[in-house]
Amino acid sequence: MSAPKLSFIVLSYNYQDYIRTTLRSILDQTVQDFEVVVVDDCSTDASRDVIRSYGDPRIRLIENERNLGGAGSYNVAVQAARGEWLVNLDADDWIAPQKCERQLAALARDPSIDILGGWISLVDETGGRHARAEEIEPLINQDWQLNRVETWIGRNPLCRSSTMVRREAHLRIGLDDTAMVRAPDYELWTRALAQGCRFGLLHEPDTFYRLQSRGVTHADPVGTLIEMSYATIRNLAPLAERRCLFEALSDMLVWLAKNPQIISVTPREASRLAAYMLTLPAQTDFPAFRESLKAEDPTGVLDRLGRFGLLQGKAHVPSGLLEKLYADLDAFTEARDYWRSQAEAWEREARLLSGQAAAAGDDSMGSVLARLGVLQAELAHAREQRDAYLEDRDRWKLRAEAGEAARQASLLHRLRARLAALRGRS
Amino acid sequence: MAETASAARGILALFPFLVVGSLPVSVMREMRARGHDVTVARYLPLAQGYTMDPLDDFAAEDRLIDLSDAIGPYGPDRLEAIVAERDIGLILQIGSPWGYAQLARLKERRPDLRLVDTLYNNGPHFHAFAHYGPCYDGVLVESREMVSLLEGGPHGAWVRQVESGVDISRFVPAGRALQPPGTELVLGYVGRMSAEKNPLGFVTMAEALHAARPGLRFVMYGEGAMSGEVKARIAASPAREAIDFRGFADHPTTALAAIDVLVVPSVLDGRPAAIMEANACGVPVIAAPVGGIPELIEEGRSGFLCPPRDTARCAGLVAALQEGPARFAALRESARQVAEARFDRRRMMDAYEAAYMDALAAPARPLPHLA
Repeated sequence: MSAPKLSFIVLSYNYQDYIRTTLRSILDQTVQDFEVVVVDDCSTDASRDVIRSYGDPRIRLIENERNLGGAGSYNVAVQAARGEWLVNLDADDWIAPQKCERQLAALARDPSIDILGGWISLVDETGGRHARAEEIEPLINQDWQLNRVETWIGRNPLCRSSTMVRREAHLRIGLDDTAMVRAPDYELWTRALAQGCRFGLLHEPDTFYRLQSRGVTHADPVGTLIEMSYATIRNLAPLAERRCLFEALSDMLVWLAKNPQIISVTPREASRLAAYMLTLPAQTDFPAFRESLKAEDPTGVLDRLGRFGLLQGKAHVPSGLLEKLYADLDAFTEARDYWRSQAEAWEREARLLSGQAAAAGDDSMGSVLARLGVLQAELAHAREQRDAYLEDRDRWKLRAEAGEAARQASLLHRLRARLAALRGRS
Repeated sequence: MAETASAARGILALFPFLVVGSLPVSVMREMRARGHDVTVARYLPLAQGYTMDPLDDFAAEDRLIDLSDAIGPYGPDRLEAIVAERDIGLILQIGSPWGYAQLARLKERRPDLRLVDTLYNNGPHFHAFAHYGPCYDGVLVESREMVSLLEGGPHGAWVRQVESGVDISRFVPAGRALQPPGTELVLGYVGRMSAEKNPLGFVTMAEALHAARPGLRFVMYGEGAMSGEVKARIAASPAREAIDFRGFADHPTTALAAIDVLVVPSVLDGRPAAIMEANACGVPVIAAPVGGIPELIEEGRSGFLCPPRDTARCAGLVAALQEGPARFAALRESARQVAEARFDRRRMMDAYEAAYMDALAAPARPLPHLA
């Protein structure tokens, strides 16, 4: 039997209510050259019966003898799959019928890609559009530059259920670390990047991703921090160093030092993570890494380095930002001075016009003149405030002030036009 | 992909600022004259103490870019747009500290780009290159000393020496009359007023020589961040009557026509043009043995190597010239001969052009990964 083009990888664990939708969406694909490798991780519900009920020879059910967890099940599936492309789809998600066709077309356009992801549509536990989809989707569905180190610092922008991975590349970079629970995907993606895999991203929300309360990633933010740190120290930071991306290295340390979860690990673990970010010791596997965070430091060197790293990371100002702020400040100051001079010129003109109007004795202008008086008082007040700010080099206050002067100037400008119109009529 | 040679032929030269008469600016101008598509970018409109070259000839053909708004985190976006828009295949890093981190990020986005650094000496940019070198395809240097410092280094980039030169048809002996025996000589400093060129060292030396031979005269030409400091130091010096600070010279020939001997007291230097220009004008040089300077001086033919602090030796050399007019005349003549034989600018331009063309013809260095 020849190898299929696609191997869908479906990890099943107590999703009896959802997996039918998942499998149906696979069977409904416009590309039909596939196998489906379903690995059931000892579900205690009727998931396996649902899977067996299809009777489609392309669906291969592998039943774990004991619960291996997500990463372990994933490895079983990858090793069993025969297709050129591994198509990930978790058992609670589903995909649009043309998803794989569109992805294969993109891969034909750029054959250098090894891992191709896509945008997602957020659904809730009932399969309906998620109540917060409008708010959350724009945070996820962006034009991520997945081949850049900086894109991966402190975040995983790639949803596994949207991905298609070249099997040959996957076997080259290796399987998931089975000890990881919270961020094995992140570790895998960063390892792939570090080992030269090319990423692509389709801006088609073809994956329907179920945002559930029982999702593992968000249930343990501390565990996520430690696993992401491991991936950073093992993969991302050495790659940044090799590419001379020293600002990115610094950003990784900053991500760690400013992470709200850093106070939830022990001080030694926090300091050790920072020390590792600075020294990048070679890593064998996650359990050894996890254990080493607690180990004594007989020389005290790691503790010192870690403390220094955390302090520096917390105090860090992004490179170039200060220069940009100063440049912006100069621009805002210039704008303020321009609008001040404009406002003063308009005010002089308005005074002149109001004097002319009063001399003309036009009664209809009484209310206009009263308004002019109010505006002039407001302008004087705004100017007082602005003068008080002159000594204050704060960028945002300056901008607000420039805006206020502009608003006052604009009111005076409109008033001048009205006066001119009235004068024209009188 | 990264491993294949990109067909893009455009060259982008990254400068911090553009100083009138500086060597790399003239090289870029010559490359344009030779028909290459060179765009120059700078991010500082001014630099304290220097006269800027507005590069109107580049601007007239939209080949001058102001990157002063690209400071901060948006630098790589801006550079990437320029590279795409102008079909740039080679970026020359020419003393732009800002550029090192930016170009590393750009290389990640555009692995097909070739990056070539230019290092004149082992100052701050040499240290930056020690960090960012692995991104670069190659580095151009002027002196054998720099070749030996860089060749085979962990950066993995190629190293190529381009010996600089001057326009020997423009720098010619001015016909300054030989001073009659007994008349004191004029010793000159012609160069940037900056720490590595050590103008204060010149003043110190002048003070020592003045104490020994009060008739000697000293003139200083040049500008830079230290101009004020140098002037203040002269004003407070016991030799102030003998030292004349003349500042910016319209052209180096003006300065060289006014002196008998050029003194180069640098603490850090590459291959200073002032030495070659002086020799081309028939002016011998007394220079500090630092950087690439020993490669330029032919002892006794074009000048002498002498640390500026060794005032006794300096005084001895000056006295020998003073008291041996025939020898001094021969030295002037041989200085010009050395310049003609070794410092011809055309050869330098040919070498730069060949280096750039070779860089463009070769595949870009691939983006590294861990596997």
